[in-house]
Amino acid sequence: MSKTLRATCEANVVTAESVTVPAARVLSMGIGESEGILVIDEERADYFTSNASDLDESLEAMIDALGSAASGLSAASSALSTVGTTAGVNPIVLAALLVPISAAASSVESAADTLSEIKARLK
Amino acid sequence: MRIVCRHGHIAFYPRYAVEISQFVEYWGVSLIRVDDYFTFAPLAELDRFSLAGLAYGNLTANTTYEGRNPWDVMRENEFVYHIGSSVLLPKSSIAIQVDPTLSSGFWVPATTLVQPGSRNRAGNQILSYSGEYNNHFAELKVSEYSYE
Repeated sequence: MSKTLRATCEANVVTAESVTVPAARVLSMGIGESEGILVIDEERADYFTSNASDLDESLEAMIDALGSAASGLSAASSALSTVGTTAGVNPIVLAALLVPISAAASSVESAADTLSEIKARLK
Repeated sequence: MRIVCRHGHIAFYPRYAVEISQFVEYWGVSLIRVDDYFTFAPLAELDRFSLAGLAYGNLTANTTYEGRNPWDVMRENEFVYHIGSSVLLPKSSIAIQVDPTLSSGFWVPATTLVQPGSRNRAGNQILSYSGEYNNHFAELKVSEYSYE
């Protein structure tokens, strides 16, 4: 048997029923403000909260960063192509130089898409 | 009717409904049904958990604990029910000495119910006991005392 109470936590301080619960063990980082549940079982008191919002924010930041990286690589590839053409670099040689950059940009975009899919179906 | 005191909580287990009504009428108290027993109204309202700093009955709990029954929580908080004033009290505040007499294999207290937290002649604090209450004689025959 156990008792479950609604609780909040901030800076590792758990509050339930308007009183702080120093005995509570926070099973997450407990730093940011959160709402969760306090489960008391005999002398043990555990605080649970959902980290989904933290994960959502992390994924969003990673997706943005990957998007920027892919755009940067594409821009670098275009710039190199322009410079190479202007400088009269053999198109075959130039293409060989640009292919790895384009492939890297595609990989980064693909990774960003995968993270977007994961973000869309977070549990 | 069997009376069981566990960690300062008192429960009545009648064999017949009339035993409760007779007891209530004789002693002028109110007993509330909880699960399979009857108890005093303030005890019937107790939760089976406490949060340190939050009210538990008329007192403030000093420990965070969840138990199967209110008497588990009373044990952890070291509270006992005071029969005369119908409130919870810290067990350390009870300064009553009892000296029950032994009769036919049972202990018969001078008062009908033994106040939880009382001390016997040896100085042991009585926190639990069980016995048989006879409505006809308004007498409790205690078969067992426990000091925890």
